[in-house]
This record gives sequence, C-alpha cells and structure tokens, in this order.
Amino acid sequence: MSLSQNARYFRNSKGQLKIQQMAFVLVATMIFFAIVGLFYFSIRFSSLKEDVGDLRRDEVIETVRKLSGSPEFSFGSWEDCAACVDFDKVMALKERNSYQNFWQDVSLLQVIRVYPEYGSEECTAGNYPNCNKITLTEKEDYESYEAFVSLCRYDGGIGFSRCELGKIVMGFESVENG
Amino acid sequence: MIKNKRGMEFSFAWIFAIIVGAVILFGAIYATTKLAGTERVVSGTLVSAELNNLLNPIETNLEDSKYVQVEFAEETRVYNDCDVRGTFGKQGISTSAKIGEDKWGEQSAKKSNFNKYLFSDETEDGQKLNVIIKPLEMPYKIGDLIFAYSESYCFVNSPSDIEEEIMDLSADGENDIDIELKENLNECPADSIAVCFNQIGCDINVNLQNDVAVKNGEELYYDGNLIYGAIFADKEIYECQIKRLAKRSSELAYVYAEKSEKLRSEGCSVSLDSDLRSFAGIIVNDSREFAARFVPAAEDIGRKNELISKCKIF
Repeated sequence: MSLSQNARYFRNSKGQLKIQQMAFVLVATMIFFAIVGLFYFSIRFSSLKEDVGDLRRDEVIETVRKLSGSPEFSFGSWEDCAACVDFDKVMALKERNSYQNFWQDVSLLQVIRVYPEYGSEECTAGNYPNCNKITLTEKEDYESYEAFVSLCRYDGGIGFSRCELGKIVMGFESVENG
Repeated sequence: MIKNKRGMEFSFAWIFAIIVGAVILFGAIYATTKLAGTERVVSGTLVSAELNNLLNPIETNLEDSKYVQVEFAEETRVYNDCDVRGTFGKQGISTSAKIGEDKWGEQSAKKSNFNKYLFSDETEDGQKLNVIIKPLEMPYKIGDLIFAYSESYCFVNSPSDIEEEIMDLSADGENDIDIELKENLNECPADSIAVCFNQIGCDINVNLQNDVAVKNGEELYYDGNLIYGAIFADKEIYECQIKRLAKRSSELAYVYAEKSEKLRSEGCSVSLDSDLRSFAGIIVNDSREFAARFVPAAEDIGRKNELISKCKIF
C-alpha cells in the first residue's frame, strides 16, 4: 500500500467512524425520548385509572342511595315512603331480558332480604316470595356498596302490604378489569 | 473553468444531522400538539362524567321538584345527545371547553345513560348551568325529567301554579334561577328569551288550553311537567325524549302487568294486567301522538288503579 492510498484509507475510516458516532447518538436520543415518553404515559395512565375508578365509585354510591326512588324499584302504593322497594316489581324485573344492561357500568345489582331470613337463598319463580335474594346483574371482580331499604309487597295472607328489612347491593367493575 | 473551489464544507455528517434533527424536532412538536389535544379531550370527558354523576343525586324521591346550579371552572359547552334507538333509547352527555374568543375545543367522549332524560338545547354554553328536576308520572312514575338551560328566560302572564313553582325553586327570589316573572312582555329584559302564556308575541308562546307550545313556528305538545321541556328544549331533543319516555313507560307497563298477575295469585280480585299490556303496546312517534293517544290511555289506567282498595298495582 502506497502512502497516498494509506492516507485515503484513514480519511475514509475516520469519516465512517463519525457517521457511526452520530448514528449511536441518534439511537441514544431516540431511546432517551422513548423512556421519557413511557415514564410520562405510565404516570398519566395511572392517574387516569384512578380518576375513572373514583368516578365509577361516586356513580355507584350515588345511584345505590337513590335506587329505591327509581320507577323500577319504588313501592308506589305508599306515596310517603322514599326507602321502600317493591319486591314484586324487582322479581318481575329479573324475569325481563330488556333490563339486563339498563344500569351501565354496574357489575353487581342485588336486592337482599336481611330480616326475617328464609331457607332458600336466590329467588326463583318456584320459591318466590319465600327466598332472600334477587340478583339482577352479577359479573366477576367488583367493588360493592350497600344501602338499607324496606322491602315491601302485598301479602294476601294478612290482606295488607308488609315491609321487611332489606338492602340493595351495587358493585362496579374495577378499572384494572374494565 | 471553475477554478475557485473555496466555500463552506458541507459534509454528509452535517446534512444527515440537519435532516434527522428536523425530523426529531417536527416529531416532538407534532407529538406535543397531539398530546395537548388529547389532554383537553380527557379533561372534558372527566367533566362530562362528573356532570353525569352530579345529575344522579338530584333525582327526585318524594320531592315535587328540585333546582341546582352547576358551575364549571371555565366556559363550557354541554352537548345533549338523545338517541331513540334500542329498548330505552340513550342519553349522551359530553362537553368541550372554550379555547378562543369564539372557538370551542374538541368534544369529549360521551357519557351515556338509559335512565336520564335531559331537556335542553342541543348545546348549552356558559360557565353555569341551571338545572330543574321534576318527576313524570303517567300514570306511574316513568322517570325524572331534567330541564337544563344556560340563558335567561322571562315568563309573561304565567299561571299561578308555575309562578308558585318558580318562586319555590328560587327560594322566594333568594336564588337567581335566571327566570323572571312579568305581567307584560315589554317588562322583559332584551337579552332574555320571552315565554308568553295564553298570549302571542313572545319567542315561545304557550297555549295552556290546548297544551301546546309554539317555538320557531313549530308545535310541541305536552302534558303536566313536560311543559318545561317544551319551553327549554329544542324540538328535536324534545321529540326524542318523548319517544324515549314512552318506551320506558312501555317496559314499566310490562313489569306492572307481571306484578298484577302475582297479586292475583295472592288473592287480589282486581287485575289490570291486560290493560297494562295493551297500554305497553302504544307506539308514540311524536309529541302530538303522545298527547292524543298516550296521555288519555295513561289517565284511564290511573283511574282504574285508584279504584282498587287494598292491593294497588302502583
């Protein structure tokens, strides 16, 4: 190799080294931005999940408190009872498919008789009204809240409406699952 | 010819750095702009969800009516989206924030509900929103009607029951509910929407004898508490909500029919299940049909239920 060939070789390899250096710097810059981006999004999404969880929780807490006054639950025969739930109507609701997704974002909706308790648990067309629980919706993994109410229905045996202690249980899907 | 080769050296490394630098810079600017837009949509969506939650606790139980004033942190546009499709139809609420003199930001994601009925214009702009809630019972409770408005109204020659209602809601004038009660049209402020009762010449004219409100030349038929819906809502929203309410009433009629059957098995002699099932079959296409067919049928069933002594259906 002559002297001039040597000089050209070193000049070329020096140029290639510079390009390689620049490429490394660029790759490092991109990786840096990507890491910063990932860090930002992980923080942002975790706070967003918290916000969504809080909003769903607020919605369920407010809804469960007011559900006894909704047309589907209220015991209309007594106009002055805000916390009276019509057990007959809730049973009829269970049998209607159109109400399956009526309460959105709700994973659990149950009406439970607290006192007196009967032998069988879940109400069916066969054991009603001698049962304790009517489940309108139930999915997996939920956080639930309760509100105590009066469960009222007309009792032909005594010829009047009778009310018993009960509660409405409502749960929302947690954000990790939703 | 060209012998002067002096000039700035512009090597490949420089060209490469400029091009890649420009790409990174524009990419960063683009990403930032997009992110800012997304953040606005996220914050709008949270406001919509909060507004939706806020409308929950103000539903009525034993109360005749309720009033709340919703205040936003900034000028906000509330979008009322009513969809009549499906078993119950759907109420959508979304918002956007003001970002310029006359410019609104991107519309947030919609919060949807099957059991809310919001009567308002398609969009309501402002930093505060007046909300009146009243139940609708025809003949049983169908739902809570939410009347929302951001503009000022002036009621001219209003009947005594509406006057009393407005006075009650404003706590005898202590709260500013943006509704003024006047005897004559010329007493109304110029920037308010005038509503005349049993007279003409206002922006909205209500005929109390025929239960109809005329707005922009269009007739909106009402009954009972729906009079406020006819006053505060756009025609499209009003007609859509009327159809949704009729659908909910129909589903409730089936529930009451099943209850009626259960009561019969408990020894109740009077049964309304066949009446309720035929009531559930009434299809309402607009407010005129609602007033002409639905309301008389509801009143008829209400009368029959009143005649039952011990085991009332509703």
